[in-house]
Amino acid sequence: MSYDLTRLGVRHALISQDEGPGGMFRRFPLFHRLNTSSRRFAVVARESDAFYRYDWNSLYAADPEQRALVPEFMDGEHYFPRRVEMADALTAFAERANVRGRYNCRWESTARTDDGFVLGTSDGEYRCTYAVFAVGMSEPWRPPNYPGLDLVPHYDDLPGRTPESFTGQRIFVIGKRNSAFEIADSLLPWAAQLILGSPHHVRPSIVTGVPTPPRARYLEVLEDHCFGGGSFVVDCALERIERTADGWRVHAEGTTVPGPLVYDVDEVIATTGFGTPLGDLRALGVETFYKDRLPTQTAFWESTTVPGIFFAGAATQGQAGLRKYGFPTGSASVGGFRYNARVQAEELARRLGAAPARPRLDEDEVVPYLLDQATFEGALWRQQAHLARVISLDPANGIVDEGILPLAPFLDSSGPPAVAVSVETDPEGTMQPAVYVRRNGRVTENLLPPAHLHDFRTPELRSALASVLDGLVREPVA
Amino acid sequence: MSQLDVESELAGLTLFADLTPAQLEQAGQAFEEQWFQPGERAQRQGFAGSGFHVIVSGEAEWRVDGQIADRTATRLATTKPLLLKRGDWFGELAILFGEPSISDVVARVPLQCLVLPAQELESFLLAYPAVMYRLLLGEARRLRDPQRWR
Repeated sequence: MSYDLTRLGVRHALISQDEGPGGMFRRFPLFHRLNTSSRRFAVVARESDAFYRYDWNSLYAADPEQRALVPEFMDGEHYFPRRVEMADALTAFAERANVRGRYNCRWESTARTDDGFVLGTSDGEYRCTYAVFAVGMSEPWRPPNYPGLDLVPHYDDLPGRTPESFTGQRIFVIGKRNSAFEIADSLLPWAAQLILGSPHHVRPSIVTGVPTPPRARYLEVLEDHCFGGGSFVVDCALERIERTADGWRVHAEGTTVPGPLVYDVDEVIATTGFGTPLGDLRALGVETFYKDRLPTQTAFWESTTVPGIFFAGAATQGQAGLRKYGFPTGSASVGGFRYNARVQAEELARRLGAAPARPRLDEDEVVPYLLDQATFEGALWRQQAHLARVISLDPANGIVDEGILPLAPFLDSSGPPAVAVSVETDPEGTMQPAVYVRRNGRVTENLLPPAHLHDFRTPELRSALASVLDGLVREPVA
Repeated sequence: MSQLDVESELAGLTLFADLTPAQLEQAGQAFEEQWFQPGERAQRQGFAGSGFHVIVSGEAEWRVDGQIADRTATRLATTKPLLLKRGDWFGELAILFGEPSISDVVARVPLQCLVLPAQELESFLLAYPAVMYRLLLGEARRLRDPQRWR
């Protein structure tokens, strides 16, 4: 966000309570690799804009020398970077892109003024027109209604613990989402027995086709369960947890198979998720949802109830987008929210009167440009059915590339002719361009055919898109 | 409402009234919470991929081609809009028929829904026959008198 604001000439301050860039990647004790991938080599050059489609972790930069820094720091053992590699890449990005922040500076309070906000910090007050909170989903969260759950450590409360410190232990992990499997994966070589319990049956990402359920790389524990190897992945609703003389007793009720369940174990770890550390923002009027864990947000990630308060980073998953076919946004990870930051920075610049001029296109450039975007633009691939490339086709104003924008407001807009293209995945796993055309003040949906190796720059798609845009732009000359 | 407990909310809705606490907790994990601002479309006419929505709070209205419509989209511009309120659901017909939605659903006030992805509806209903039966009752009631189905 700071990089983009600087690029747009928006005066701002960046503060962080961390000691330096990438603080969270230096903190978590038990897992050592991210669950978001970065290819080191792809079918496009690493310094190209298109490489971001294949690198989910690097921050976005306009300057080719500042791009794809995570692959630069990866050792080649795996295509999921180690968290220290991620932290080093973020540090390098801040240095090379000259992103200046005030570190060891803690945000402590927020107050409204006539023209904005005053942020109280450990280093004094900051006054601003708009405040952007990129505070992550970093606050440990436990559901409130389970006796004993408050006694056991949360995933985030294990300072000083190493996987080796669980040697020979029977461990109950509460939860069956990514963080549960992440913990279990790191403990599998050391624990005597692992039990993962939560109500819902596990349907991993390779079954659902979306990246939020447990990722394939964590599924050794599930396979161990399936093969009777000593791990158990149980569908149960937690009832209570009791301390015993030599450990813990977990009481639960079976869900898929009803009936009472009791587990005696040495350790219990709650992987019940995280919330957004909102400080005093609720008192300021910021509305929340998802059991108070996320702020409700507009399409540009502004609080729906306190205008001028924006969110960036992982908290932007509070803007759910269209959820077409249930497909979530990519805003929970860097690969998605880095694009939100670009969009949001331009929106802030626009409100502050510093919007950059938009590039123009010739009429016969439109079709090939949109297909090129659908093939290579990382924002469309990592934020499917959420962000789109928008081109306005106003006869009075010419053809203008409006940039990457949230799709939902476009669908609900009226106005002069325009087209938006996104990439979408249907329930059968088919990935295809979706083209939304606004004519006569109404927007229609047009799904284009899929293409071999996801290269949409084919004569068939060119013809299909030209047909969709018939009457708005002329067909390009072959 | 800022601290929605999905299981508790499901327990308070007629559609899920027959589920046990453990089933409610399991069912609750299948749904995602979603918010819509006044004027925002929770379902879009002519668009594919919308989910099965159950309203937790707020009000919404049906619109066809931009005009207020009744539930079956047969009577346009009724003098009194037919409102969707807490406990009502929408999106099921487009999912069951595998077609784009035939109407908009527009939030009149802040609208909070629990949403099940389209492709999950069939397996969900088969897993919870009691929910399927109550859904059937609701559909029958709407068919019996589309003007008074609430």
